[in-house]
Amino acid sequence: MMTFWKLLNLEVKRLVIPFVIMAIMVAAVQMYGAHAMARHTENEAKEIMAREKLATVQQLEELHGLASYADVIRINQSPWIILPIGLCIAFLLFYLFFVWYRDFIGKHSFMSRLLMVPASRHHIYFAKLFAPLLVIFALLAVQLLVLPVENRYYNSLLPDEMRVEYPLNYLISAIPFLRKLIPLSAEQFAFNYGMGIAAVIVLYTGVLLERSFRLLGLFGAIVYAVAAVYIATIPLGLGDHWFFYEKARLLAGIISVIGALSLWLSLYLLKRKITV
Amino acid sequence: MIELNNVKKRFGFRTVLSGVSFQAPKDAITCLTGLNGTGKTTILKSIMGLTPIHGGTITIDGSPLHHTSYERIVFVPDQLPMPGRMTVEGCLEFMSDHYRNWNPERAAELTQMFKLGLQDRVGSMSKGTAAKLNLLLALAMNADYMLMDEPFSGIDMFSREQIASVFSSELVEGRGVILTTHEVKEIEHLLDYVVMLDNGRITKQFACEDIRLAEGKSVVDVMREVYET
Repeated sequence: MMTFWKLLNLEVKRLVIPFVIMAIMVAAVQMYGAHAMARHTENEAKEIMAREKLATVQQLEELHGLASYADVIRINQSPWIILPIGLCIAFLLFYLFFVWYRDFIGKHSFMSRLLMVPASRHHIYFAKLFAPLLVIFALLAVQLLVLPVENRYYNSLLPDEMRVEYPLNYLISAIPFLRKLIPLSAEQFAFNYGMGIAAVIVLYTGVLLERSFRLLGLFGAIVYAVAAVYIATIPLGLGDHWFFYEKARLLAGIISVIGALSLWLSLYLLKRKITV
Repeated sequence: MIELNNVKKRFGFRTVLSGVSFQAPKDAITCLTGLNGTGKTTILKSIMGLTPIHGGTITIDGSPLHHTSYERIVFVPDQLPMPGRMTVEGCLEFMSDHYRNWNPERAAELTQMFKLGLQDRVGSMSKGTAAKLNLLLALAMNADYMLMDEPFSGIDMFSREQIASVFSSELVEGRGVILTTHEVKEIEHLLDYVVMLDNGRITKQFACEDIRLAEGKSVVDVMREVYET
């Protein structure tokens, strides 16, 4: 077990710099976005007041309501929020794909060193699975911390009588993209991230198939991935005589089976078939 | 003893090892030699479980390879298998973290002996320096067996001499060594057994002592006979 923690530590260390860059980028871009949106709200309010000849902010409020950060980001589907998260997702997808290949570079790659560690090879697999997951959850935590801060910052730039403050869950609900990343119910959270983990396991299986059987393995990996996606989406095509919760449960069941099967296959390949 | 019995290996449709059998005793240096592409490296990788075999058996002291065997058998590939960004210190830490039989005192001695800077990064090392670090990572482990793939390949004369001197030192005493090399001449006097390969088959294997005493030939003479005919 100690080996697992050491390997996980090694993998996490390799992700620290990208994580710091991503966290700073998310915070900086979203804070700038909050600033820009506050200025935009202020200018818009002044324009409306001038156009409609309103003397006070109270009159503006009576006619147009109060401004809130949640409403602003919902109406604009704020690119200041979506863009940095999108960039992080793109990087993490790239990382998940290359987390194995990176260690296979060179004639005698670092993978050969890892495979010769005197512990079960399962530890290597789980270290490579959990390290990106830890970073993903750490980024979610950063997002959850930054969102109220940018909300406060936005509000601090506007006059008190012009704005209203909403709680964090209202902010998260404002952008569907954000709502998918940070589901507000535990069940939905487990479902979304369970699906994500299963997808990563299928991806890793594909990579290990390719690494074990090279060209033939690549073909096998493509067939495996297509079959996994096809089987996983069967419940989505079921007719209306199925209740939504029935479809969801069936989907969760199928994805669990695919994930478990892929995990078993990955571990088998890593133990018996991998070639460096 | 490391024992290979009728080992077969294919890459796709190409057979790279066909029925390879030999024994490499502990406390002896066994040299695998042959032209390029004859399967020497594949044999070492097969012993280490870095590539699957398609027939036959490989045992280490009578048991098949298990992950715990990596405490007793160490592989020195012809290139240092560490990430380019890792420092010498990082490499030593990695080994110390994962191997119970890691000997930090010996690692420190060898770092001094090979004049390695602890903050030097793997990616910026010369081939000779990387070869020394590679050797250090194996020698600082109290392993029973050492497998070395082309330890003299592409390195300068001084580094080569330094590495060759290791074979006659107490650092490998008591260990079973299997090495692959083309450059037999420099270490010929240290070898105990030679296994000659051609096209994935063993063409000849012998104890060096027998050749020297019985036939009055050197290993290089025998290699010439085998590979020039």
